[in-house]
Amino acid sequence: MTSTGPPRTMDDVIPPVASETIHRVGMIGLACCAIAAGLALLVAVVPMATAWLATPRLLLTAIGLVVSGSAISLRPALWSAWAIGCMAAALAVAGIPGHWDSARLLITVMAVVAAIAAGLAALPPTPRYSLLSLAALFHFGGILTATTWPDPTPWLTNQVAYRIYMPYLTFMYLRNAYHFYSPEPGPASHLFVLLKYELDEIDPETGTTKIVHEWITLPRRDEHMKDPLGQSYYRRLSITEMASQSIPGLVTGENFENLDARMRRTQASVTGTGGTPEPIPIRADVDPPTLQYRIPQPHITRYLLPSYSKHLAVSNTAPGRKVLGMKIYRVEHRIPPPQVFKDGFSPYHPTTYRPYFCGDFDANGKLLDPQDPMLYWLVPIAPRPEGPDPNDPLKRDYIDYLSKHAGYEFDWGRIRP
Amino acid sequence: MSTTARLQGTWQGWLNFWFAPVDPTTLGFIRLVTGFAVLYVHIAYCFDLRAFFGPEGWYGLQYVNRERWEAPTQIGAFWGPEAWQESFKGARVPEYPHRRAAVMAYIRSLPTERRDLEPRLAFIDRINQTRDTVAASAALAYVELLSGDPEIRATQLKEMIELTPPGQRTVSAPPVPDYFVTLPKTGDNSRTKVAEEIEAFFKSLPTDTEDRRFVITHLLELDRNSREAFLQFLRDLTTVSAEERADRLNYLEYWNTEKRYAYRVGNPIFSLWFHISEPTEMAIAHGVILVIMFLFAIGFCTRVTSVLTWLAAISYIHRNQQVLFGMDTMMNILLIYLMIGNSGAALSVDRLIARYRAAKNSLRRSGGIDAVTRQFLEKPPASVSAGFALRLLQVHFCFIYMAAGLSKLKGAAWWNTNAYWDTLANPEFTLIHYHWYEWLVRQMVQERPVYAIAAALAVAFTFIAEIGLPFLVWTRLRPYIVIMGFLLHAGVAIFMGLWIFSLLMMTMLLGYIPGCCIRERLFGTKSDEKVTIRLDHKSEPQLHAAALAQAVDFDDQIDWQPGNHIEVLVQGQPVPRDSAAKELLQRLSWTRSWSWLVSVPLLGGLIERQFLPREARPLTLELPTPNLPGSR
Repeated sequence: MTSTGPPRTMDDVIPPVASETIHRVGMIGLACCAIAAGLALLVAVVPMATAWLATPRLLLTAIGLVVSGSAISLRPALWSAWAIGCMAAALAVAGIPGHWDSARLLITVMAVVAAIAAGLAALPPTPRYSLLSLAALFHFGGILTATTWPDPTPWLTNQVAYRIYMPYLTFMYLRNAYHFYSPEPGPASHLFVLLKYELDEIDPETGTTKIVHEWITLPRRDEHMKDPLGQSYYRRLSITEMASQSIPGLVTGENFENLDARMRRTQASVTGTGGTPEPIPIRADVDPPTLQYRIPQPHITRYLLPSYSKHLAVSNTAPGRKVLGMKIYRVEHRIPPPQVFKDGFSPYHPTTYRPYFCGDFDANGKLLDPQDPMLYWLVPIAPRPEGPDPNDPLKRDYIDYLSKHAGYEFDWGRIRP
Repeated sequence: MSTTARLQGTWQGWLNFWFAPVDPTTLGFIRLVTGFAVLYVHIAYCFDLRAFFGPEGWYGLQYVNRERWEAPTQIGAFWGPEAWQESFKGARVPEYPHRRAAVMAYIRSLPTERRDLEPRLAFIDRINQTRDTVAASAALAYVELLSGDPEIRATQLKEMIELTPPGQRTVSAPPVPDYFVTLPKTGDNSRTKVAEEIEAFFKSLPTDTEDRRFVITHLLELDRNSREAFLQFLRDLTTVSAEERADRLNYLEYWNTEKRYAYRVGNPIFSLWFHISEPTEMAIAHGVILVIMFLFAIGFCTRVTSVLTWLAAISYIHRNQQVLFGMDTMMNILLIYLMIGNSGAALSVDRLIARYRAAKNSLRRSGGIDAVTRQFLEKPPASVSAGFALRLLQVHFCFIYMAAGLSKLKGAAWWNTNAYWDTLANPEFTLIHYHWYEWLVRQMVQERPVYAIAAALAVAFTFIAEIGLPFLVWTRLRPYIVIMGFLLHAGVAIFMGLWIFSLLMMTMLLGYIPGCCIRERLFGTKSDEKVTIRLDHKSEPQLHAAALAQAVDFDDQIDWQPGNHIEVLVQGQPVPRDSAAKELLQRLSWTRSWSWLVSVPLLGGLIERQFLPREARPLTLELPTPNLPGSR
């Protein structure tokens, strides 16, 4: 198109931004990153300046990257724009403060991507499309690897995934296998937590600070549906699901752990009526005994449960009350089968819940007794086939060992939203 | 056909599939829906910003940092005989917390000098060298059963050396393993030597009986190679500094492996929330991110905001993976492809700006809209990057559905249709907490055939949709299978409450719909009400106003006429200046709904100044004279 004549093609309708303008904008971004890198050099020479130069370096880097990225966006087909962006990112790697290590990783990746994009933009179409095709094949190779990664994992998938794809899939969050609701849908999991508080008041009976307990359950529709579409609720459901995976294959067989755990389990008891110890039975009518001991996956015991307990301690501590510790139960909520449901059985009946004791934690997330007899065992909510206990004012048709084990009554009436 | 021709044809077919330019309207629509869904998801985070992403959140910063810096990636050998081994190199400790504590305490109690350590490991060395696993197990079991009392133990070992028959022993003792019995009484490799080694080993064990049992059991459970690795680890600890020793022990205790044998250490993830933890800073950052996401949703500076939106979204994802579910996976996939493709080329503020610029250029040149510009204004130019991004999305979706469908085939609940019950009656997901829904479901299951047929149909529908789509979507059955997909996710939304997840899945399904279909739905019914504007195309303010009007004229209602000055004509009569802007906006079909804004004080003035610049001569708006009966 001439400057005065009509456009001949679609590309002429809006003339592309002049390359000089793009270079100018890109160089501004580059300059910002270069200044940040210069400040980093200064910090290396004058370490005392580290703290107060961190924020300017951060801001300069961010601005520089956005500006040079904007230059690229004005004309993505211009290879020199990408080249300037690559240089800006390379300087930004040095310019960003050291404690922003994950940002440094990100910017490094951006520099590499910009370098590759510069090359692609400079190439003629055929080689460019060839390389993009290879990139697409690599990408979908990774997706295929991710979908075949869950157990049972082919050896080849393991090798290829860990050696080649894992950094890419992890970085891009593409590791999901898309096994939605499969192979078995499975029951949802809750967390029941008995918090132990110390209040800022003296108990007149004991003369010591008052200790109170409170059950909290997660998730709860009435409490956690904070937005119309339930994001807060479903995210809490994920929190509880993440703590529900157990080590498979361990609960059967005559291995040491199983035998040792069973031996300790026989010592489990609760305080019965009159203060006498009462054993917690292994009720085969609740679940097969071999399925009643479930050790969580290593990452759950290592850091998930300690982190959860620490969070609960912090978030429930308020002026006048301090969380001292807590008992955590992972609770599976089984779905009553249709043949039972049709006769009026409530899906929220206490016997549909399967609490597994995950431990007694202090406020710092430390498991207090790794040898607790009930640790990782099912605490039964067992049916009373003979009907409610005549002495029970609540006329319950079940025996609630959860409340007995925790030492504090759980209000099953509030479980239904 | 020659091989070369065939290859060329294949290559051309490949290019046509992946790199053909397409109408970016589909991608633009996907961007619109995804953008607002992403915005909603992140607005919802406002309620839980500290709980999810704060330093003391559900997954505390100290834990996630440790994971991203240290988490080991372990993998077996790729080649050679070691490739057949399922276990990994390096020392191991028990996974179970109570037993691990005992073993770690034992390791930490061992001497740091090699010469002091060796006697304590000699017994384990011995049993490892036997290569007889039964003998090794028997030897360790023997040690476990020895008395903790030093005097009694000394007697037991003495009687072991002498091979005192059980009836003649002075103290009760475990049976002597056959391996010991075959050794001579004295000498280098003798029962006396074994007794010395056992005593040295026993003294290094915990004094608590239970802990001692845990340590010995751990050694029993390790196979020969793992035990060898365990010994090597203990020996190597004597060659490093105290700091390094503590570091290795700490790593082993936390990760149950040795760092030096990990194929990779740490996770390559990034997040703003690793580095921002102060409440005010978090709130400001979160607010800025919401603004960026809004700009992305409306398609402003999309090339930049798409990248920033993805970076922001992935920041939340990487910071706390415990709160994630399928919705986040789909959201991420969409954002990646929207970032790659030119998702701001249609249905966006960027497109609006492009229309404005195109119209202004054309009006400046000729006082009207030339053919090529008109073509540009009618629909966005076909884009290779949009086509590429859409193809990536389409193929990826096929992977998703195939994986979802095939993985269900592994489950008995899907084969016997019980899975349907789980989706109908799961209290945490479904509507069963409503008594009316509970009643409805109960009625349905009163008669088993009714329930069974419903279950079978639902399960079959799921399988056909999920396993069928990756194949049928490339055929003429595409519309039907896409509709099936929509219905499937509508069901998931209604019955399982996963609204955003279902919306995002449906958004991905939109990738199979051509841009022209979307365009027809949005712009198909064009208004035939014409408007004429006269302008002096040498006047910059008038050009701006005219380009603005043309930019919002999606139904091509405006005709342009050159003039010496701008005039407003309605049926041959000039339209007063103060009502010309409102009149124009009311006539254009896409501005009609907000033309009332012109009446709003201040805002109305601003709009008028844009569409009717402050000049001596007002903008002329000419309306067509209606054809009345009897008129000429």
